[in-house]
Amino acid sequence: MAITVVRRPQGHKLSNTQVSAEASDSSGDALFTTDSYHTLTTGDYIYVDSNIQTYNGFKYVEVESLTSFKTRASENSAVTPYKQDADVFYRVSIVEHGFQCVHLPIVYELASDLFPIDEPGQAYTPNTVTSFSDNNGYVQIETSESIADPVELLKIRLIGDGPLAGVYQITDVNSPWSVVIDLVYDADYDFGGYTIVKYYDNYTINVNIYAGLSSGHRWEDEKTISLVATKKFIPDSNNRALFAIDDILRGYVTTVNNLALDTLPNNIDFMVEFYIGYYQSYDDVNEDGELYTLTDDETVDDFIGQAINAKNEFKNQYSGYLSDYVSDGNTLARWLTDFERPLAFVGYFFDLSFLAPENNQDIEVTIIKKLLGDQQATETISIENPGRGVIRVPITPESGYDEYCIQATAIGESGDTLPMVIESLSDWVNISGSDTDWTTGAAPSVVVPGTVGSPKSDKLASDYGFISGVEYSITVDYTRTNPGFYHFYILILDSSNNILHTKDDLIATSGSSTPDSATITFTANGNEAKISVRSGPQVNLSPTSSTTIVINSVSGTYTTPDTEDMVITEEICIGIIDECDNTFSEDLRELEDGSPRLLE
Amino acid sequence: MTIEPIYLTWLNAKGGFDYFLFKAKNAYNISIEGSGETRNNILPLWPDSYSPYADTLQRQTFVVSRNQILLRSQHLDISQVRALSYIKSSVLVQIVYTRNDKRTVKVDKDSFKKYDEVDKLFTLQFTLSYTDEIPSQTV
Repeated sequence: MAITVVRRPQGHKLSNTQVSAEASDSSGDALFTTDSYHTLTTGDYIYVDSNIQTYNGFKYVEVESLTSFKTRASENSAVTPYKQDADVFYRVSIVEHGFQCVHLPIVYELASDLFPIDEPGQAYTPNTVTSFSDNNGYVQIETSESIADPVELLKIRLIGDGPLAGVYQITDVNSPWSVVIDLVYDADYDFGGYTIVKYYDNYTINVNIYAGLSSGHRWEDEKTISLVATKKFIPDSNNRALFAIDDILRGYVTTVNNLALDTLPNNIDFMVEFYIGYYQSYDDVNEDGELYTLTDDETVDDFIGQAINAKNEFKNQYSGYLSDYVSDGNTLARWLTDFERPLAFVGYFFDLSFLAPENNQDIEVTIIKKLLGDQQATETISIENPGRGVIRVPITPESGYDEYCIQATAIGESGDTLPMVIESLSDWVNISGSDTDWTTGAAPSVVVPGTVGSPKSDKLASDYGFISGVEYSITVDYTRTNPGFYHFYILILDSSNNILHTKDDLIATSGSSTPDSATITFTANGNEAKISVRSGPQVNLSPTSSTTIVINSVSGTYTTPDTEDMVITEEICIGIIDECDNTFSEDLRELEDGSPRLLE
Repeated sequence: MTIEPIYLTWLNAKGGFDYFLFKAKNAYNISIEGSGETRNNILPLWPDSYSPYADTLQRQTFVVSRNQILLRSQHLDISQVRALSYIKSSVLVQIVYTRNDKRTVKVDKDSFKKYDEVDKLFTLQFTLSYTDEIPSQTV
């Protein structure tokens, strides 16, 4: 029983490269085939353009082969159906972001599997009426399967094409497969062809809307994200609820020009971040036999969007998304101005705005000052971690220049080495296999027998949330006895316990109760999920005596990678006009009323 | 060239502010948006209310008026005209005196010709109305 998010207000920015493909029929689905390897992966988004409207628009990619794929409107939507063979062109989304106009629809779509269609109920072995009888004037039905949670006052639904199709309340329960319903008895009823499912009366999808500045934003205390509204939806006949939340979010955007705002250059008046949580509710009966509203736990969606005090023009590529104004370092963001070449006047305040896409980034704005096309000077404005949002860059036009060319760059950072927080050894678990189990506890141990063959221990493991691209160094301190020719391994596993990284620490010396340690260093690729240790024999050598391994401690560090400077905006050049210059007066012909008129 | 150039800023549809200094000569008007008057009742003080001692037969009870500026641009190129024309559709237009000294104004909502393709140089003009009324008493 679940609600899933079918569509989120996620924006995409498209590559300039257009690829062609052919649409064909694949068991009713549209299959898109390319001439050469498409290099797409499942989860990519593309923008499709063709003469078949069903194929067109932003689509989620599901790869079928190196040269073919299918599409969906979103991850949890149905596969795009085949209509007819067609040539299509597509461009790949290279940036995914949440920046969008608060004055255009900000749309989510949720799907329930319970209402009005009880999908689990219908997927189960069809429950049918095997017989019915008169029970004090009402129908008592006997069913082929037990009804899910039959309780007086709850409802069932008869699904079928006949006149008995509908929702009925249970008035008495004899057994899970024998209930009385509020249908007046008639011996002529024909229940053939109907199936029975539970009916979730007063079913509602509840959506909590959270707005503010999300955790981690430098100015989150100024506009703390909080629950601002709850919307309630009854799913449509396809179990879907489509809704927009921009009307709510507009209340958290303020249209003022506050140049003394505490958070400048971040103009937090013009942005509100948002996310949703959702839960279902419906009628149920409590222990006292009374109806009440059952409310599920809330599921919080992990997508966080940014609603900006903006409204895109009609018929633009990205609808309400500000994709032209966000950057990934390769495709640069435009500045938030209507001018191709803004003019700044000496002696007058001037600023330009752009969207800072990330939190915790220092930004430098470089101003190249020119005269007659030649660079005369350079100025750098440093903005320390402004936080995500609309950044207003104040620029002081000076005499002696006729043009400033401006560009913003996110400043890279040196990597940091920090301690890992690893589960206590007493929480590590033995991954049971065909070898010797570990004795778990505060100091896990294993005795590997000294028998001929390849005796080894099972794996002792602990979950850890590795981050792709980060370098980890993990040290295990252990004690060994009768080492023989044993090996001690540190293993990094994926979630299915497959080994991704190995440190093989040969125990080749004799002695007993000797402390030892081993260290594994690796860069995570995103698939790692567990830290593990095991003991085993040296290849081709059998141990002569049993060996005991005791784990004393596990510690580690991780080092975040260095990041490079990344240009985030296009370069924009602004004309500098000194009040004393006569750039415009040459073309002026003032009439007696002082009005300038076109030269004739 | 005017001796009182007017520096405007306005909120653009993208969420940023644009600026322009209007340097052509402007016209300064006062818009009278409403007024009220009453006739004196001359009966109670008759005949003084009509004699040489009397001063009026009518009274102004209130006047609603505000300053307006007929703002004219200097010559513009076509891209500047396109950008400046958004002033007319902006919901926030301000005269900027200094960074922290601004006055919000309302731009007239009359339709206007953005540009004519036969033109080579362009100008714009529109009326700015102050949001405050010119002070006066209500009687």
